[in-house]
Amino acid sequence: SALGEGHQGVTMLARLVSRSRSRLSAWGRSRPLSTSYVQDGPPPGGYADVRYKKSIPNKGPSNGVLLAGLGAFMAYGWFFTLRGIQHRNRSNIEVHDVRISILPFLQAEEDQRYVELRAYLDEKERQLMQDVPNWQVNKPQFDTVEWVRPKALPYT
Amino acid sequence: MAPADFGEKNPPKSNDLYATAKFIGDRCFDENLAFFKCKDAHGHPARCLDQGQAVRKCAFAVMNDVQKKAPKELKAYSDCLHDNGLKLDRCRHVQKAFEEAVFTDALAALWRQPPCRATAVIP
Repeated sequence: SALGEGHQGVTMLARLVSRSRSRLSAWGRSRPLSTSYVQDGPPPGGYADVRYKKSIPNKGPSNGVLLAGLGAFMAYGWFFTLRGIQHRNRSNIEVHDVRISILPFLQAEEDQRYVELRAYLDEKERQLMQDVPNWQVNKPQFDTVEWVRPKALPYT
Repeated sequence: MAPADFGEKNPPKSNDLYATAKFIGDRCFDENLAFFKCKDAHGHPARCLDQGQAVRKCAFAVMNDVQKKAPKELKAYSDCLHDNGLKLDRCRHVQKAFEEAVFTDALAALWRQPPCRATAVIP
């Protein structure tokens, strides 16, 4: 190739030029005057030996110490967790106590309201259907039980 | 002007009930138990109107007593509960002031008794 031929030519010229060091080459001042080469090689003294034998040193904390440390780490968290669980249980008991104390009051209020509303609706129904023969006001749909909790509020 | 009494004309709100619930539960235990027993026996609400009336009368009486004794503390506790979604854990400081103002020696003695209500034999 052209590059190879040129390289051969330059090398030959470099050999000619090196014999007369005072003369600069025609190819430019970047051409080195000396022909000492830099090579990549091993460091002086050679490389160190490759380690191939297994090396598992038997040092560090023992099994018991490791378990004890793990246990301490977990106990630290358990302390706060259990304290929180106990507090939560006490709070739930308190809330339950409050709610069950006022439940009869609220249920009685609702019963009173329902009974009054039911009476009002029955009266309205009686007035509307007074001319219809054999009409039972608020006829129960169930015959085995007296009361079935309604799924929705009565329509007013 | 004193705050209005609790009654049919002035029903209590949820925060008032939550605030006085412990006192209601303590003083109206018999009425509440009778109402629950009636409800167990009957389904229709019309069968337990009398017991319900007694329950409400007792609750109103307790709430009015508490309001007469410490109206400001009751209002403070009620408002705190209203602002915090009826969460008791968020109003401890106000609850302390309220209960210290309302607790009487008789009631405190009742609290110091062994827990008999929870383990009472219900005849």
